[in-house]
Amino acid sequence: MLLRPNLRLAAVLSVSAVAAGLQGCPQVEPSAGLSLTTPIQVESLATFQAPSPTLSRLTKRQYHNTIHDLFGTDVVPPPSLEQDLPSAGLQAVGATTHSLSPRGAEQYFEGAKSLAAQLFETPARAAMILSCAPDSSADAACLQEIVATWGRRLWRRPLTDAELTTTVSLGASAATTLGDFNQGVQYAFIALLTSPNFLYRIQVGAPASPGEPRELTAFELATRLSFYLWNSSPDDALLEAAAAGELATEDGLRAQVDRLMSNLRNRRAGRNFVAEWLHLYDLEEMGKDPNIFKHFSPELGASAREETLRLAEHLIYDVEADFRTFFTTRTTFVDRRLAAIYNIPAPVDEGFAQVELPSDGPRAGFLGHVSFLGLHAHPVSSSATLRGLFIRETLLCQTVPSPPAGLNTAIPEPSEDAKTLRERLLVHMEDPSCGGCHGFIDPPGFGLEQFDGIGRYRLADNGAMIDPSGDLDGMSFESAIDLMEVIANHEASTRCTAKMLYSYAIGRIPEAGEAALLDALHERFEASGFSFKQLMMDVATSPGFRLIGESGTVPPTEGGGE
Amino acid sequence: MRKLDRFSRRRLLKGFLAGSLVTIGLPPLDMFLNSHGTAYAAEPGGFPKRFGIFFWGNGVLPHRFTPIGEGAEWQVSEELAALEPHKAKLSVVSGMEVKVPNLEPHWATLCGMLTGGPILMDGTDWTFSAPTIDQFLASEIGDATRFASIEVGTAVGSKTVCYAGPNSPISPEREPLALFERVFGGGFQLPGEAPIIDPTLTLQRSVLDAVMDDITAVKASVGYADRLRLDQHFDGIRSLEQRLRKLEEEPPNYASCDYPPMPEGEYPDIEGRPQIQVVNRAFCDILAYALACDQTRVFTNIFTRPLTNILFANATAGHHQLTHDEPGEQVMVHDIILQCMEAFAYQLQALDAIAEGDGTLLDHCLLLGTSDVGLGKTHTPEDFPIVLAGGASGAIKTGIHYSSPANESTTKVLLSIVRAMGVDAASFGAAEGEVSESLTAIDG
Repeated sequence: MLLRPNLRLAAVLSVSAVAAGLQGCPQVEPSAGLSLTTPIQVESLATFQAPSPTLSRLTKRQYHNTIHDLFGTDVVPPPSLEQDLPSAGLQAVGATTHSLSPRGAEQYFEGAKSLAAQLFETPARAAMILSCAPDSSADAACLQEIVATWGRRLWRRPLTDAELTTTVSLGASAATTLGDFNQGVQYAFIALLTSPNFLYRIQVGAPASPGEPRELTAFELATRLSFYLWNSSPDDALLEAAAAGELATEDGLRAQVDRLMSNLRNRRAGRNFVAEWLHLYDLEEMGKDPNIFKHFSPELGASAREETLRLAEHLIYDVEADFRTFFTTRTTFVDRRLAAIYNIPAPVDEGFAQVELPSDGPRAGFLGHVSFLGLHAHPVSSSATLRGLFIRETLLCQTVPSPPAGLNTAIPEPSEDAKTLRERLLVHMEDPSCGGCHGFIDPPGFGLEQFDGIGRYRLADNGAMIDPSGDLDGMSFESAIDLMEVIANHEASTRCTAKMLYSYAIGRIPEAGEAALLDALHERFEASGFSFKQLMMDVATSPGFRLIGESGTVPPTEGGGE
Repeated sequence: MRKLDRFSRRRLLKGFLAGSLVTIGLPPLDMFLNSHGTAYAAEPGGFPKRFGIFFWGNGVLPHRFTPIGEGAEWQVSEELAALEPHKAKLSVVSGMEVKVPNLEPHWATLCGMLTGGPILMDGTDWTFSAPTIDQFLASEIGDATRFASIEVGTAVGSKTVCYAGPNSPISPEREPLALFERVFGGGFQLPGEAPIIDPTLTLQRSVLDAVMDDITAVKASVGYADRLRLDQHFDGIRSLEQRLRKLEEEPPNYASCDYPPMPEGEYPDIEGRPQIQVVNRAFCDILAYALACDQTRVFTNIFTRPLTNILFANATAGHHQLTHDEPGEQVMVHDIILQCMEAFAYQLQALDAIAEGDGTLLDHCLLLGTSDVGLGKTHTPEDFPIVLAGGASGAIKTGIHYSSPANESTTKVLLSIVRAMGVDAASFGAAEGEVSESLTAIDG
C-alpha cells in the first residue's frame, strides 16, 4: 500500500514556473509550509528502501560527450559503439541491464586506439596532454604524472597506487619498445579507455554507520550527478568538490547541483532525457510510403525529433513553464518540412524557427507533433492503437497487457457501415476478447484520428467524417485539443513524468520501497507549479539518488518464489 | 555494386584501411586460385562445418509454405519456389510447434525457436532465458576462428534476434561496408601471406590483459547480475586477445578464399522502401567469403526483424500491419514471403557458388531458415517454418520433407543441429521446450 505523506501545506514558491505561460491548465493552489529549497529527507518518507546498486555502462552519447568535454570537440570519438538498446523504455535502464556483446568490446578497444592516435595530432592537444616535459622516452615520472591526471578524469576518481603502477608500466614498456615517449602515453590511454573503470559507472558505496543503507562515495556521487545532469563525465571542479568532502553536506551538494544545472551542458542532458523517454531516437527508422504521404522524406524523422526537443528545452529552460504546457502550448519550432505538414508559413531562414500555431487551430503541444503522430502510426495510415498504447504506457505509465497469443487480430476492412478506422475498430471491439484491452488502449488514439499517419490534419477518413470525441479515465473530450488538456491535467501524466525522470536518473525502474519517495517528488513537482527544473533538482538531492541498498550476491532461487 | 578485380581491391584496402599494422608485400596470388583445393583443407578429416541462421520476420502462410509430399518424394511449395534450385541440398521440416508459453507475441515463440526455452519476464519487460543457437554454437566452436560469430541485419530497431544469454542481446552489423572492413580490412591475410609482424601486437595484448584484471577486480565488488554482465565483457576481451594472437599465425589456408565484392557505402531507401534485397546480397557475399576464408564458422543473417513494418516491393502497407489487417487470402503477405525466400535463395546461392574440396561451401554448412511465428496473423506457435540447408557435410539429411504427425517440439531440430555440428549434447532447451531426443528423421 502506498502511504502518501500528508503534506498539503503552504508553499514557498521560489520558482518562476507558475508565472510563466500557463495555457489552459488550472492554477495550482500553492500548498503551505512545503519548502522546495531543502531536499527530501528520508525521515519525511513513510517508508523508504534504498534502490539496488546499478552498474551502468556509458551510453554512446555519454561516451561521445565525455570525449568532447575532456579533449575538445575537434577530437573525433568512435562513430560505431555498442547499440544502446532500451530496457523498460529507457536506454538509461538498458545501460544497467544489458551485457556488452563481443562486438561491443571490440569497438571499445578500436575506439580507444583511434582516440589515443589523436592525442598528439595538434600542438594544442599535445600541450594539453603533456603536462610535463619528458627528459627521455622512458621518463617514468612524467608518464606517471600524466596518467594520474588523466586517469582521475577518465575513471572519475583517483587511481589507486596499484592501478597507477600497472598503467604506467604498460605505457613505459610501450615507450621503450617503440622508442617514443608519446607512444607510451598513447598506450596508457588505450588502457585507461578500455578499462571497465572508464566504461562503467561503478557504484558500491559504503554504509555511513553499521546497519544504515550504503551511501555512494563522494566520487561515485559526483559521477552520478554529472551523468544525470550533464550526460557526461564530471569536470575537475566537481571532482575537487568530491575530494574535499563538499558533496557530503546539504549545502555543498546543493551548490554543485545548482552549478551543474546552470551550465549549458544541463540542456544537453535534459534533451537526452526527453529523447529517451519519448522514444525520439526511434525516429531514425520512421518510414512512410511517399506515394501516400507526399510530405515524407528520409530527413523528416530528424526534423520531427528536433522540434520536440526544442520545445521541451524552451519550456524547461527559456521560459521555465509549467511542464504540463508541453501538452497544450501553441508554441512550437518548425523547419520547412514540418511547416508544410502543419500547413503554416515556412520559416524565412533555413533551419528552425519558433512559431505560434493558430490559437483556434486543431493542433497543440507534443501530441500535435510529427514526432508523436508519425512515429506511432503505420507506413501508410494512422493507428489509434499505436498512439493509444504510447499514451497509456509512456505518458501515463499505465500497464497494458500483451495481446493474448492466438488471437485473430485482424481489423475489419472498410465497409459501408464502417468506413473510418474508428468505426472499423469499434466492430473489432465487439469481440469481447479484443474489447477488454482495446477499450482501454484505443480511445485516446481516437481523439487524435483527425491527424493522419504523418500528422497532417484531416476531417475525413476514407470519405467519412471522423469523430474525435471520447473518454479517458473518466474525463471526456470532444476534440484533440480537449484530449491534450485532459492528458496534461491527468494526475497519472505528471506522476509519470516524475517517475520516468527518477528512473532515468538512477538507471532502474523504482520498486515498492521507493513509492513514498515518488509521491514526495510528485508533491513537490506539483507545489512548484510543475517546474521541471524543480523536479530535476529534487531527484538529484533525493535519498534514492545517493543511497543504495545491498546487491544480490547469489543467483535468484530456482522458480523465483517470493 | 562493383566487383573490383582482386588486385585493385586489395590495393584500395591497404590504402584506406592503413592502420597501425605493418603492411606486407603482396604475395603471388595466382597459385591460390585453383578452384578445387582439396589439398588446402586445413582440418584433418575435411573442411570445417559452419552454421548459419537465415531469419525473416512475421512468419509465413503455412498452408502455402508447407511442401507437398513427404520424405524424398516432395515438391517445393508456392512460397518455397525460390529455393527450387537448391532442393537437393535442403530439407524442410513442417508441422513442428514451439512448446514454450506464448507470453509475448513474436518474441516468446522466437525465443522458443532459437533457444529451446521460454522468455524471462521482468515486470513489463522480458529477455531471453538462454543463448540463441548461433551464440551457443559460437561458444562451442567459435574459438577456432578470428570471429566467433558474425551477425548482420539492416534494421533491427530496439530489439534483436540473437542473445548470448539473459540480458545479453547481440546487435547485428547494420552496414555491409562496416562488415567488409571488419573482416577483410586490417588484420586479414589471404592464404599464403606471411603472418603479420608487428611489435605493437604484444603491447596491445598486454593492454587487454590489464583490462581483464580490471574486470576481475570490479566483479568482486558488484552483485550477482552485474557479475554475469562482466563475465560477458571479459569473454569479449579474451576473444579479442585471441584474435590478435591469430594475426601472428599463418592465415587459414583455403583455396577458395578471396575478397568479396566491395559493398556500397550507403543504401538509401528508394521511394520510402529500403533496398533490402540489394543489402542482403552484399551481406551474403561477404558472409560467404568470411566462411570460405575461415574467418568465422557461425553467422546469423537477420533479413528482416520480428514485427518489421517496412514497405516491401509491391506492398501497399507495412509488413506487420498487413499480416494482421490484410483480409482474405493475404495476397500481399504471400508476396512478401516470396521476397523473403528470394533473399534466402541468394544466401544459398552465394555459398553454393564457392567450390570447396569436391563440393561447395554450402555442402559444409548447415543453415537454419526460420522466423518468429508460424502464421503471422495469429502469432501461432504451431506450423513453424523450418528449412535446413547444406546438411553439414552429411550430418543432416538433405532432399527430404519431414512432416511431423504430432506437433513435435521445434527444439528437436535444435538438438539435431547441435549434434550435427559436433557438439555432444544430451539435451537442449529448457522448461517446456527441453528435449533429449533429436529429430531422427533428419539426422544423417
